[in-house]
Amino acid sequence: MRNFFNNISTGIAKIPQWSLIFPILFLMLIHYFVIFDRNTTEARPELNAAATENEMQVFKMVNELPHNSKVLILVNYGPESKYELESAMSALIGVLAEKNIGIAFATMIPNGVESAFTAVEKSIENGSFGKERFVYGHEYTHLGFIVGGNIATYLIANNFDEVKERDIFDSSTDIHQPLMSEIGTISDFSAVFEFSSQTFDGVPGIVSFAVMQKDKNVKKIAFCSSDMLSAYIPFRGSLYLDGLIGGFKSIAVFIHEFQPSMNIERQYYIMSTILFYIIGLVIFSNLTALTRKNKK
Amino acid sequence: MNIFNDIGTITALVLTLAVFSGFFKPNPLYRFAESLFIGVSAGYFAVIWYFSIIKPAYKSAVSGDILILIPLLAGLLLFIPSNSEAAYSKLRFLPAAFIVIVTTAINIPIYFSAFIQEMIRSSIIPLVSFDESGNILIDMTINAVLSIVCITSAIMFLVARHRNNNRFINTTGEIGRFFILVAIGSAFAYTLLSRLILFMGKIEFIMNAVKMGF
Repeated sequence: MRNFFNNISTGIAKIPQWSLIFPILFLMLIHYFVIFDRNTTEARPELNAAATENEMQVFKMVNELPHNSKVLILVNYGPESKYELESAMSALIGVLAEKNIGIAFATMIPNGVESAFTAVEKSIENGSFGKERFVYGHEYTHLGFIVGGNIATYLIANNFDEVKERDIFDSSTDIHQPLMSEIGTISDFSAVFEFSSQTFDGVPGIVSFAVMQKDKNVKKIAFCSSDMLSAYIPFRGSLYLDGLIGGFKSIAVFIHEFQPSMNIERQYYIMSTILFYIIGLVIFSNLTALTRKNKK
Repeated sequence: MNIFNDIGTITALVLTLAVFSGFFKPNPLYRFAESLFIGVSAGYFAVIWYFSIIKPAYKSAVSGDILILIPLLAGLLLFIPSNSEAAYSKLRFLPAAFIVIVTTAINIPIYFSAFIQEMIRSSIIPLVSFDESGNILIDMTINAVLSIVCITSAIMFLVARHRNNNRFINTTGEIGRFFILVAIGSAFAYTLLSRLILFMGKIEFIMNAVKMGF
């Protein structure tokens, strides 16, 4: 018996740790081709995640936004978080477009310039509204990259007139864009949303913005990627954030609520399965390291 | 069929596989993708900075706004060599000092208000939470109490623990150390999860491209 365990232990010790990525890839492919295909055609997987109280609060806020109002969306993520945040943003755009709410996009990171346009395209592709119903300058606009990190948040909060002078295409917003002609200060927006995958000087952009902007009437809602969650959670119940959708689980719940056609259940299902494998891999990897140490 | 979409998809697929090929060992394809990525990023950022900063500044200057020349001059002062013996060389400290002062002035209120005042307030108020019918919400209340323990013990660990031999402070500091490690571990786990999601997105992209025959 002892020899048997010794042999197993020697066998495990011989497996190089880097090679453990292959079982994961293999299982992932199997899941993709077998389980995912079966699920999409016949039994769609259930989203085994109920909305928390905090998420319900965000749903309520989004639902209560008045028709024909205006919102500002700060797009502070780039391609590195596209997979996670783009779906949520296009779901939100879909809801806003249905309610004829005007959207002004702005970004505080160079990588975020394209993100807004790709999310709009994705939202149009999803088909909840037609391209002809969502016209640049009328239904949405992009104010471009606002330089300066925290200083940019100061500008947006206090000198919005200066920020909104010209759009990303260098056109005067007052002359060419009916949407922006009604916006004078930040308080003219019904809500400010941030989609973020990074902080500025260690502070979430929306928190920095909220500190600078003293008007408590404008709702401030943050969407953040999984790795930014620890930076946002402390502010969840604070005066600075009226709502937080953070991490893949919350984002999946949000999309499930507002854009069911996006089929987020599939992604969430694969994600949770892979995470299960990863946990197994970490345990196994540590076991090999431990066995190797014992052999030495 | 959209030929531009197809070319884009094939290029993206080849480059994705080229980057993934680096899992095994660096190879010419991987190095090509890496160099291309660095080059394209540098070009992209150069264009963004040009259109976001230089062009608007130039337009303002041309249209008579000479105040824009002050930051330009300040920027040029930063290029004075640090080993210069000339009397005017000390001027290089002016823009640097200005940057430090402005950044500090902007950040101090944010940090104080957000990280100290509001974070502590939101962690412990309300200490006891009630639902609509007046019953105590056990989980929220435990959360608030736990927050007080975490904050106090972590501060104890960071500030007072190494300056005395008080047993109570040392023990509390150890608890704070535990909470700090949990926080670091959680941050690491979230980062890992985020990278995994990104990886998954790329795998899904490859699968879709293969399935749809590009």
